[in-house]
Amino acid sequence: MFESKSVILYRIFAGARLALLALSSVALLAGVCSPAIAHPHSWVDYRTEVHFNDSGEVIALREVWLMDPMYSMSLIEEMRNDGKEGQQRLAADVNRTLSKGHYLTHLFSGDTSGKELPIGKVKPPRVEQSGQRIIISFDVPLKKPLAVSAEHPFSYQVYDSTYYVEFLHDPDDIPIELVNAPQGCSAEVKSADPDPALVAKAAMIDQQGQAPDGLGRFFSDTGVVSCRGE
Amino acid sequence: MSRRVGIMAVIVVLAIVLLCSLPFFDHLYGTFIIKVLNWQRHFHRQLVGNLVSFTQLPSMILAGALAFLSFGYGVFHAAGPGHGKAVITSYLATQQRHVGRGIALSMLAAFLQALVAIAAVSILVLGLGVATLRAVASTRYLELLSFGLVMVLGVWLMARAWRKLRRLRRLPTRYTGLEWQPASTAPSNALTMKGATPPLQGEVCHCCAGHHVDTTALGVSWRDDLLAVLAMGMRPCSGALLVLGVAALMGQWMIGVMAVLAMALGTGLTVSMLAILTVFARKLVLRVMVGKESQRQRWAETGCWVALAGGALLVFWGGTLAWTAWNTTAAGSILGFQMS
Repeated sequence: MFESKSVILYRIFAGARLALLALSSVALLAGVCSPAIAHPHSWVDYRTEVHFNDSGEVIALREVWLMDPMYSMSLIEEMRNDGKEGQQRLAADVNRTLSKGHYLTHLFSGDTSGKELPIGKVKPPRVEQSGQRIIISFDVPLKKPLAVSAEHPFSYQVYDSTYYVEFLHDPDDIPIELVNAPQGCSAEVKSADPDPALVAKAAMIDQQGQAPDGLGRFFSDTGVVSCRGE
Repeated sequence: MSRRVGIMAVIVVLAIVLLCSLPFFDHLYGTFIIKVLNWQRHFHRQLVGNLVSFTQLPSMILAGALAFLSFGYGVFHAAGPGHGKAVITSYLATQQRHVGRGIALSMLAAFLQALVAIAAVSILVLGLGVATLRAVASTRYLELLSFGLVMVLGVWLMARAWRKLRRLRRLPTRYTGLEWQPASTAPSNALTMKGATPPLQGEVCHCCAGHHVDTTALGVSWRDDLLAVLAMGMRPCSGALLVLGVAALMGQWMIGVMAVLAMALGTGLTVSMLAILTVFARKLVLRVMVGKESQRQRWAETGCWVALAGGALLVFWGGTLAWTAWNTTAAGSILGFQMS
């Protein structure tokens, strides 16, 4: 009958601690598993041109982005509100954002797991209105011309790492055009086939805002240009 | 007692197995994300296409399709990331609520989100003539406010749980004088006062509402819930803002409002599912961990500790989310691109 005070207290606290632990881990898990702001709210259909020099090396990637209808409308409104200088102001804005973000472009020799190729200076993008859509276009020059072969193709990806905007090659257009390419060169678009485990990891890290690259990369198309030697 | 030890052992083993098979869960969860994002993309593109066609040639059929697409978009959008899911799971896992209340909270938060979006676009775009994209960018302050509220909610819950816990612990001695009695026989007056409650139905709940009359308990929890709904719903979804902005631009304001409300219904439905799961999971865990409900004192104390942990968790979430939001300044840029 005289069960000691400490025994009861001990039992109560042991139970409390365990319950605490279990519940907080469940909640944490559930919470961690729901990343913050990683889902596309807008999209871009783009096409590219790969430019070669006369020695058959890749010198630049030209990108033409077609913004989605809803976003285009908002941008057109923005331009109209700014009156006469609307277009220039929008172009300047786009230029500032894109130059800060490496033009969302990633170039590689070989596959996309390697080191990124450095890019040269990009001229301010052109922003124009075509019907109800906005088109943004610009050239990304390579710092050094790149020799392309079957073993070492030229590959590129365009993505918004936070996946706020989704970038895919335009299904209604010729996705990649080769300009001044030597004989035996060909281009193809590889659709993303993301590894679920990596996506899950990225989604979790994303929540803490520490992801060097968020979800966007995993859902990005890859353009691949390869050339067979003469 | 020994049976409970057995159950605990099973749980520990299960936990270890779970931890070891995390790669498998990663894979499963990743597959889930990819599927959800695919569905969401599908609905989003259809929705945008439909909205654009409607603004060019309005018809009842298009309006109906738009409502359906908005609903579907809401369902999958909410199944994906964000939308206060971390908040609602933390809240419901640690504060005692019934399933119905969980559903109500989810729905109210979803509709508040829609109403905030509608109010923001009416005031900023229609009233003040701000361009849609700038309006979207400026709702960032609402987002920060919402995360701040999450932290306030956490602190508030913690403070109350702590107070009740102290009162609860002083309780047995007060009633038994100098002689200590086992907790199970010491009358916890919370229950003697609500003698009408059948023994099996007794839950931790009134722990933190204290040993007063039921109505006060109700009042207090109602205030918590209001704060939780505000914290989750203050933050408009930028998808909804864009739809409203474009609808307003095209002179189809009402169709935008309808689409956003349909979206909220979808969002609320998905979050409700999560809420139901959380409430049941909580019940299950408590039953296994704390054992028989006859041990009132123990139940009550455990409930308080859990509520305290929940408050701490919410403070943590609010802080993390606010910190992240504060550091992603470029989210307000014209293209919405967020540069890392």
